[in-house]
Amino acid sequence: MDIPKFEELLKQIKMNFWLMGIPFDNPKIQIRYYVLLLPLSLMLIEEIAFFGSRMSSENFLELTQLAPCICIGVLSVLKILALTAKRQKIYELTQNLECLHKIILNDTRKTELVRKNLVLIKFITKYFFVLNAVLIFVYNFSSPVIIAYNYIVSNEVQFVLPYAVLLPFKTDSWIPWLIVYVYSIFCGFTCVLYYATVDVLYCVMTSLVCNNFSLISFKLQKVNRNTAHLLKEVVKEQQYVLKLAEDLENIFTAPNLFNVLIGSVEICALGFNLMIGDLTQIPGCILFLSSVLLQILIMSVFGENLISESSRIAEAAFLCKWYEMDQKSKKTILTIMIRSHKPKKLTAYKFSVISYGSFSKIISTSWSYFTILRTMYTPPGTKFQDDL
Amino acid sequence: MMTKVKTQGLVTDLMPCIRLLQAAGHFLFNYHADTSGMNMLLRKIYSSAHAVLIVVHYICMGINMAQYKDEVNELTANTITVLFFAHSIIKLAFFAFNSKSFYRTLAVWNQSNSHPLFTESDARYHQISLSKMRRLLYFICGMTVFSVISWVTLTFFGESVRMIASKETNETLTEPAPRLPLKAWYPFKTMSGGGYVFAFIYQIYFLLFSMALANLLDVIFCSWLIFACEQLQHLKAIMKPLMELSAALDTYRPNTAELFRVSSTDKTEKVPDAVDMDIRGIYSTQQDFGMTLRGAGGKLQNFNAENNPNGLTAKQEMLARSAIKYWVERHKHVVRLVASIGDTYGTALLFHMLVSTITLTLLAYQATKINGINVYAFSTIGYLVYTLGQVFHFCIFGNRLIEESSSVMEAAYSCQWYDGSEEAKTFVQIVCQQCQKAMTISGAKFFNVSLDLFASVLGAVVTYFMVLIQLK
Repeated sequence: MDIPKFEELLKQIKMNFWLMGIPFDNPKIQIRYYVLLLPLSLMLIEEIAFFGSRMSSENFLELTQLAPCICIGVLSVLKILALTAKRQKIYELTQNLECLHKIILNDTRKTELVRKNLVLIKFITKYFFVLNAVLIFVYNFSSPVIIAYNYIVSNEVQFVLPYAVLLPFKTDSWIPWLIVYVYSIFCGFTCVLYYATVDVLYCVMTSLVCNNFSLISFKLQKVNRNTAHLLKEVVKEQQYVLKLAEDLENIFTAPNLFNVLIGSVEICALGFNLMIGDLTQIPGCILFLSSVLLQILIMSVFGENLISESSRIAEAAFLCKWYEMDQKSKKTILTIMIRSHKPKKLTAYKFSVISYGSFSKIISTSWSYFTILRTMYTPPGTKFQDDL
Repeated sequence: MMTKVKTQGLVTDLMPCIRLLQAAGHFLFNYHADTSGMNMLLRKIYSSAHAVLIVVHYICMGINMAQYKDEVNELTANTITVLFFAHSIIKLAFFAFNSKSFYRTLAVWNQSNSHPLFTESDARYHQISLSKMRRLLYFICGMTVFSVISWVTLTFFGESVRMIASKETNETLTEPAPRLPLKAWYPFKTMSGGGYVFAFIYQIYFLLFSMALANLLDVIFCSWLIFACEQLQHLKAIMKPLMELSAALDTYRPNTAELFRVSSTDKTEKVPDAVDMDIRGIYSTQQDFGMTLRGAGGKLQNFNAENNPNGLTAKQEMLARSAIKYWVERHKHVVRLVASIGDTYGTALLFHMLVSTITLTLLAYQATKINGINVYAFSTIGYLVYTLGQVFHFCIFGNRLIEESSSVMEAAYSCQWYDGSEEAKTFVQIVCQQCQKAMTISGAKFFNVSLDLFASVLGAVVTYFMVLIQLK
């Protein structure tokens, strides 16, 4: 497949950012931003109000059914808020990466090295958006389908809403139902737009930074006695890419934290629902659970990539023909190795590192909470519960 | 009233905190201008009086706990209160027994080296650390006062009763108890009248002073950490100009002409009059100087004008070398400070964590009994937030120290060391190698103070809560 140009990779993201009201070329926040954000926040408040109104020890199962929707909504709002705060940094980082990308494209050897990676990013970008769009379409337009089905089967119209909200008015007739329905699906699309864009941006940027690290490793490995003066170039490049990775960490540290925290809660609630809930819930639960797991997995994979690529520079320094070089170059190689032994990590606000290790820790923590929930849950009506 | 006492180093920076500690009743008797026998005696009496009052009230609370040890609810609540104030007693005793090491840590920074090139940066970061320390002090004082006020306010809500389980009917009866912030045994009647007012005032005094005792000592610890972190920031900031200075110091002939930077020579020429000064003026203490003048240790190559590649005089070279020496000595000084802090306060942290762990476990149990928005819920959540807040307070500063000290390596690498002299490169290598290991404060070697500790404490509380709620 052809090497994608930088604009191709970022086209969809830039368009999404424009749609959300924080376009790439304009530091001012547009009105569109608030038009999209405020209804979604209002919807979340209504959902949480509904959740609060149903909170009691008997409704535990229902609560865990409501939790994932609320969690995803809260997660996407928090992520986009965090990113809006750092949008200047995002623009600068994209420009810097673009310059570096151009240099890569000019050199066929370098292009060959990163070909597979770039093709993968393009693939992920396209199909991630498509997948999420399909999911949200299906979920949103399932409500009219259910109403139609109920009408055909029982000849009565039940007004079903896609998300459970607490409203000050009833939706028993067509007009209020239609208004709330359109409002709900609008918010659903916004929510998916937010978190899908943030995730894809994370994947693309991390991959590009990893590519640059691997190019530095490649260049370092090829240094020999005659080209020892290139070491200085290599160090400068490494310093530059380290700075870019630092910016990357700065931008994504808050979204990663929210992802980790809320992801654990979601997995817990969904797993519980899957085990204890009734059969009609299972397909929806499995779908939701796999999408959450996939999201956290992708986040961890790219974090791990960054760690491994930035520490590979130390290996590359050892693999070059250092034993033939002069004393000065050997010292430079030693300094490079000492620095590269400490890899560049992405963290969740310094609380935990994003890597395969953290992924398994999230899964095991959610699993233990889920086991505790299962043991302590008693279905209502089967056992007399003492008053406290 | 009091003549100004001459202080230096950390004591000057921390003077407000030290005065507050003395006012709260800690056994801190240094740093007074007037050390006459009469005044010292008065101060000792003052501190002892506070100590006696606080210990007496603590014992009263203990007697109350023993009286009602058969009621599970009462026992749990009283244990939590007793443990809560155990911090103050422990810290009071800890300071009294360990005051020598506190004085030693406060005196660590009395003599610090200086370098004409870096005094401005030094002063700037010193100022930053001062303002951060002040802000921390105000914040903690504000929080302490706020906690006392909200505790007293909460006393006036809800029923002031004790829950007693009747042995015959096995249901919970309520027994009227005095409406006081804390449950304690007094030898006089406290339900109403003069006894009630006296007990109330005594308890407010106890609340304010015991919380102040514990929190102010934590503030001293965190202020030390702030100071160490800002010193590390200063070291990171002067790395770049130091490298540029060393770039001119090329004591071996370079292999290729490209390594020879013309621009750096210009920079060296811009060094202010220092090169014309008497060399002795560079160092503040004579012993720093031992290396070059007497020729011991350092190997200063003597260059004639033809052999010296950059045209630097011997004085200029010494200036560049002295900058490296300043950096290394300052870093060693910071390491000494951090080691001293760890030795002084580590055991106190260990006790704090032990008591907090037990408190949080019991609080998790209490939290399972919350059944609505009432006084009980507020007081349990208040205890929880306060205890977790205390742990978070020193965890966050311990974590910052770890971050700062391990980022020195990155700062050393990110300057233009490849243009520097061989000496500069070796310096960068050694710095990188050493600073890979972060400086940590440990609780008597049992644990490291960092955000990981806080996260594990928080996780443990949640786990206990979930297990206990199942056992209900």
